Amino acid sequence: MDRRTSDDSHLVDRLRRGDARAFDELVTAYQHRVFSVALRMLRNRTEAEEVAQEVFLRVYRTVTAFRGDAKLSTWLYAIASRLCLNRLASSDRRVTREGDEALTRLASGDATPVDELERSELEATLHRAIAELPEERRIVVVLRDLEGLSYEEIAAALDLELGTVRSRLHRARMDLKEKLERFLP
Amino acid sequence: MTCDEARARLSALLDEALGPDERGPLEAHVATCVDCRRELGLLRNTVALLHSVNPVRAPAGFADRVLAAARPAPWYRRLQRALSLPWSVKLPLAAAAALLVGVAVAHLLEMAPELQRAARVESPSPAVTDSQEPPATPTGAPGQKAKAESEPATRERREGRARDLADEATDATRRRDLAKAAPAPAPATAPERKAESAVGAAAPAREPAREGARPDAAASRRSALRTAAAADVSGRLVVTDREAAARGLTEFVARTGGAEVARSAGADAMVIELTIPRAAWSEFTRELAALGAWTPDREPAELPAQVRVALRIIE
Repeated sequence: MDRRTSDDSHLVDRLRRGDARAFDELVTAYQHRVFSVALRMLRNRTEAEEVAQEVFLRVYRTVTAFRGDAKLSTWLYAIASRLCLNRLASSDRRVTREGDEALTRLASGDATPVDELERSELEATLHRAIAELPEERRIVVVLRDLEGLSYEEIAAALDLELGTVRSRLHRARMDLKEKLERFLP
Repeated sequence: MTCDEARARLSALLDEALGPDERGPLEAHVATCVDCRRELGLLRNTVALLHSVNPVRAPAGFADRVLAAARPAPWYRRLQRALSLPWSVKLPLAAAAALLVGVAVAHLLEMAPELQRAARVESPSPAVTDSQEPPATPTGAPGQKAKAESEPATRERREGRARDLADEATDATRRRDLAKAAPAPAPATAPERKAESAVGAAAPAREPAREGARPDAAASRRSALRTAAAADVSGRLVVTDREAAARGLTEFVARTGGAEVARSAGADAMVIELTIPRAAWSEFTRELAALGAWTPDREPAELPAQVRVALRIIE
């Protein structure tokens, strides 16, 4: 068991005991990752914040039922993914998607103006390419290539077979390869 | 291995997610197939671009908003949620609960004449009158026992109101235990804890008849009782403006060389504890009369050099 898993396990124990500071630590530790998944999937900051908040509230309400056979982070990603996919499937979803430029602005670095321009063009293309993926491929590539989950963790979070994760990820990357071709050396 | 079979596994090869039985033949194919090798390179660069995406950060204040949303609701809201039953069930239950509380309170007051007197003296309420019909008791014995036990309580009345109420509460608790009219607090072993729990138990028993059981009112009364027990003189000062009266007292204390020992404010009363030099005592009683209606509960004939006074200021 690595240090992070051990820490998470301790955090889960404290959450189960109703330790208020534990929830504070959980939100602080995972807020960016959960919000990132929600934003990549929903492409709307307001909606992403709503969903990310709901993820933490669900954890808060149901942590006593968490069996602990998955990592805490996997459980959070599972809730976030499910809520995003449900919302995307919802027929009454009428929110405006923000432009890819708006998503690009999320990331700012210390690059020079020229670098920044090239960078922003690449980022915009990347965000657009990710956003155009079918949802079931997009969530897999977001969890794997942007969030760094293993195939096993993705399978657990999305309740999929390992083979399905592998094939969806491969198709997603092939789609992206075509769209990003001009940036590839 | 065909090129199609090889390309379907290229992503997994990059991620080192293949078993040795798949990886060996795939690597052998890629080593000999230029197209598949080129495909693998493009895929590797695509993944590298994805990894270069800057991470997204949650908006400022997001964590605070989550924590605020998750803050536990007050206990009565949680209880309300837990008891969220259909109205067809809830209404009869509520009616039965109200009736039970009413019967329990009336029963307790009937058995304890001292509590009735206390209720009338402190804040008369139409809900508690001498003509109130006594409810039926489960057995005859508790009522008789109550009458027998009220005598010591009456004797002790002369020793101070605070002590009286504490003793009455103890008696009331004992009687309730016998009559099983209401749940009693768990027995405590330490004497001071016992006294505390007796006072605490008595307060809610009186509350519904007078003020609708406000917890802060009960707490303030308990505080008043503790303060009064330590004071030479204690009593109630009924005023129109509590804050103005408190200011008046502060000024008086400063003027006459007294001191303010303690102060606590509850919803229904403010309790101030002062020491007043005996020389200024008559002036102090005039000051109290000027501030409002002063009703001493305890005032010894012989005053010490520094008179300790506990005032319960009520609007």
